[in-house]
Amino acid sequence: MGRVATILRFQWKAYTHHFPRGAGQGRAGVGVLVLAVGLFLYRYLQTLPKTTAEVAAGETRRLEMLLAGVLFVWMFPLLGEARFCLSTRGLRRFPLDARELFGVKVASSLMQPYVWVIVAGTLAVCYPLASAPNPKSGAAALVLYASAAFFVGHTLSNLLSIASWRVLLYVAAGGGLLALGLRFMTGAGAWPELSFKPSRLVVDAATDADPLRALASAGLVCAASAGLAFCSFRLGLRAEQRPNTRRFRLGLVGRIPCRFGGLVNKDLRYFTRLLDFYLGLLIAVWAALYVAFVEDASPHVARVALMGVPLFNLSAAFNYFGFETATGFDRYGLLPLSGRDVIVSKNLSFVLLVAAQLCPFVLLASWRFGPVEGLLGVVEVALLSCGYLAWGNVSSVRRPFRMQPFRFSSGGSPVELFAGAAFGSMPGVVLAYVLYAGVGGAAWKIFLLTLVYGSLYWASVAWAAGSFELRREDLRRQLV
Amino acid sequence: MLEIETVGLTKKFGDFAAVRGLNLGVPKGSIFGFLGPNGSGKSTTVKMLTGLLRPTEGDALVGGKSVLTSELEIKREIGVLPEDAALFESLSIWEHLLMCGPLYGLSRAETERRGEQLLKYLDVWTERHTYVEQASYGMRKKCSLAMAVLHNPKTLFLDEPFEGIDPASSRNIKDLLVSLSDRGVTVFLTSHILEVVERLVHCFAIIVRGEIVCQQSVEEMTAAGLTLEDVYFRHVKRRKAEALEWVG
Repeated sequence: MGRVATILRFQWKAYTHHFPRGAGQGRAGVGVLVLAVGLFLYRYLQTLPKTTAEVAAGETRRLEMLLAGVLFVWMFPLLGEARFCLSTRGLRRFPLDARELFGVKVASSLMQPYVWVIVAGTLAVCYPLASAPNPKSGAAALVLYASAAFFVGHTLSNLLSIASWRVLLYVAAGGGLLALGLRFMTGAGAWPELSFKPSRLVVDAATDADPLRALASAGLVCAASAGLAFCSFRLGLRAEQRPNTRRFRLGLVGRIPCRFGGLVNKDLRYFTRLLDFYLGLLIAVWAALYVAFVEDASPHVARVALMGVPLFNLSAAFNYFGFETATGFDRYGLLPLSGRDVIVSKNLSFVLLVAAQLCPFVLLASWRFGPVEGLLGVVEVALLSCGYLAWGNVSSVRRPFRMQPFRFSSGGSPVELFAGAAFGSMPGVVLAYVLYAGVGGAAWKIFLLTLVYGSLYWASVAWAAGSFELRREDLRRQLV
Repeated sequence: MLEIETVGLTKKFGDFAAVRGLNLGVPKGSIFGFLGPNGSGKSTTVKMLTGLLRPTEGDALVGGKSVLTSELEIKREIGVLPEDAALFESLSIWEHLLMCGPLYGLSRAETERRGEQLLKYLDVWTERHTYVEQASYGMRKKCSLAMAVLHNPKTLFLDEPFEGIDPASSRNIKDLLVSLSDRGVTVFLTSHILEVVERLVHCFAIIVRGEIVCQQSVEEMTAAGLTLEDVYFRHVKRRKAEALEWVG
């Protein structure tokens, strides 16, 4: 225990040393983040009295929804996990067993400030539980339930770092969500009724005449999740020890016909390590299924989907150096590449990424709604890409931050993210307005829009190329 | 004729001057050893000469071109093995070479031919599909060295090329450097292994706290009846360490 405490003390020191360096978060960004969290908490706290009144009247539907939200929210800090300075891999040189390493990992994940906000938000559910018939057992079940959610998040996080499990999880999640989409399209309702809901255990512990049974079940669920988290952690430790050769399967390097095809391939490999990409892909598949199978499918819906999918690749556009290590970043300085070459190679990777997500969908849309709709879809995607990259070229070179593979992208300034998303989506919105509001001279307006965003894109490439060459040393420091 | 020449080369990080007014001359086709204790400014100098860091003051000419104005032209003609190998984690050793060749104007077939020869020479051919994130330190070094030599550069900068390398490969690398030098390639290397440097280089310089304290040829040194270790410790003070009575 003493050894774990010592490590945690230094983990905290290392984390607080890292924190003032900003991790890509500007002062304005932190301010807006605090404001956004504050607003969310305000709305959340507003719903608590209503839930309290309902619980007092024996109605628990809103409480169950709150608890489902708690389960969902606990996944985020772990799936967008911070990079700790004293990683498990680094700690393995010390005489620590798996339990101690697991303890360090679990306790370290509680160091992030937004986890404390989630803890506070979770404990606030005690307020409506106080008006239930068994408030104490309800509160105890809530703590067990939140702990279970926390450990489930850890389990997923651990499994996502093991290659074989990652594939399994992707297939399971993708398959499940696809099935859900199909259910929705065939009119069978979005959510199948589940026979066992963990949130029900808290409600039962708070309201049942015999709360002990529900409490014991909650305890069992919590212990099982903790056990799963530990087992998955051990699996991860063992996976790290396997022989370090993998066969060359992707086999794409050098096949993209340009001088820096290898770099483009490398970036594609990096970008597809973000979980966000797979959400975008899933939406593209849903949209493709909608276009293919729904009888009265509307081109408007298809257009909205086209606009929505690239939003999941914002990190690849706005922070394209995020996966580079400092030493990898040095290689850009050693190769005979100009700043423009580097920026264009990154942009090309983004375009290929979006194309991989949207190509089948655009082809299906052309088949279903005619070639003009297909062509407009291509124009829309091109305009959106120009918009996102025009912003991204500036933001990637101005303030890059490290991203974690096989997690959802996290970090960076939320102000810049929202502003960039609005700026990049603007041509899509304008295009939709021009096409469907019945304004005259649509072709001219689209041409003008293309000209404006095309120029903005080229200006951003020129600026970013110059800035990259001048600020390479600073960028490297920001990526350490 | 000098292949590398620095004039008042200086690098400051804030108030700290890592390299101060460096004046160096490296003859074409020679093997030049750049020595000094840890933190003396060796790697910073290499980084400035190879375009990784911009000098704060002064200039350096590599192949007659200034690092301030002709960075890209210089990069096309040099090969670099940096201190930390500078590799991309998500690519395998083989993929690094395939990526690298076309950037120097080599065709894919030629890149593959040279890459295979180099990796076999460095005894890393069977591990070519290992991803860098999983490769050992020595394998990374070998990969980076192969990338440095692949395009047949006129000047080669090697920062600690023998660190973490097995004896057989180390011997091969030494032979390679000698044969490159015989064919007119200039080799600028840093190393802490004085015995290796003494046997390999034609001339050397010692840098201490960012300043050159000695620059001479091995011929001059041997004529004076000295070894490299003698010269090194004449300029680099060895602090007497207190005995660790609790060890053992």
